[in-house]
Amino acid sequence: VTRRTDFLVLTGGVVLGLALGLIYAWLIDPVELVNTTPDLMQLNHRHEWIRLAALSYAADGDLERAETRLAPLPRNDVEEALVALIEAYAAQGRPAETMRALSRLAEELGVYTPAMDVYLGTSAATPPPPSPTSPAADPTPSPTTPPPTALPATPTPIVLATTSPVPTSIASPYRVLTRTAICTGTTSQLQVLVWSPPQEPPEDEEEEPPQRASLSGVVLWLTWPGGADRAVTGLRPWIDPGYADFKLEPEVPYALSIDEPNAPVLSGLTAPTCPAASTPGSWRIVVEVDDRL
Amino acid sequence: MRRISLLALIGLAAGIALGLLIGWVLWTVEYTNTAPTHLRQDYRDDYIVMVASAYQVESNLGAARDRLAQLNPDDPAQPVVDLAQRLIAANGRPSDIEALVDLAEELGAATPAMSPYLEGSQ
Repeated sequence: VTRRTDFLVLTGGVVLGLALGLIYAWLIDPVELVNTTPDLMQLNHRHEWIRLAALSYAADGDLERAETRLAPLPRNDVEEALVALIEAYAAQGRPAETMRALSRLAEELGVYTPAMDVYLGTSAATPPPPSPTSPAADPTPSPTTPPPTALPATPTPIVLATTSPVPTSIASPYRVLTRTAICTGTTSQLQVLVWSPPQEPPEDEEEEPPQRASLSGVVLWLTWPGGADRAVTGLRPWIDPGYADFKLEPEVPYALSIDEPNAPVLSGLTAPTCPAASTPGSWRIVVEVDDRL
Repeated sequence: MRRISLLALIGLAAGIALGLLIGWVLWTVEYTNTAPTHLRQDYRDDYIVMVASAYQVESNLGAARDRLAQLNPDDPAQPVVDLAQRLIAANGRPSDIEALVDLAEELGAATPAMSPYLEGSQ
């Protein structure tokens, strides 16, 4: 009985001591929270570290240093943060020099987002390859009824000219249907409407002309020497679900691309001149996007 | 009775020793959600340099101040000043010093030691 009691007392003491020791070591005086490394930081701080490393690279151009700074961090963190930074900066229209540096860094690290294409000197005008079974693009816009649109308030717009651009010789999913120069009373804009190809009406409504549908969610790129901007159709559905616009600066040659910034559907576009010098000219462009090509 | 107390005491001491060994050495608390303030000194310094370099690109003083507040919420400029002075004394990388001095000045915390760099940038 004595031995059993001794054992129980000793065990009880060890258990109690162990509990006290662990409480002290883990809760009261844990291993001091200093000397940590970037990879142990909370996700938002890790992303901030990556952003800072990328921006520092944009400032000093030291690739080795940037790689050293990013080395402790998980690859997927670097990819996510860098892509988010480049896309946010592209959307904000940050200086081209900064965008070029960030894009170069991303390229060196094997990170990719379409937003960086335009800053990496990729060749312009590389339309998507034609589908071997798809017919050539119809050069003549179909006489169809466009969907009703309530474009931005343009107090009595003066339409300077409407043209149908020359079609490309190869089948492309993108086609400029009309290009209209207008004079608004506010700012110089490029207003883009993206429509689908004419849809055949149901059989029981054969008398109805083919209708086009406005396409939302289409990414548009406006590029110019040393810069780029991006817009997505459908963010202002009260104007039109397929509508997006860009601000134009006078005498700057612009190129409009769809989906990717390096395949212009329209280039050499400058803000039109209005009869009244004080009135800024705008372009209203209707583009057809055919998903079947 | 005395024997029992002695055994309990021995058991307690052994348990505490074992608990500390486990808690401090063998199975330490794993920290995964730390903040910049817990970074090792060399990483802290790098963080501050990066904040200053990023300020050169972004020109966003509010963002720089917020980032530095992660290190010293009461006086965000202090880490910049400390590091700038350390790098000046140690003949650190000139571009880092210039970025730090620039930011310190914008934060209204330039010191006499920074004067040569400030004059150089004006």
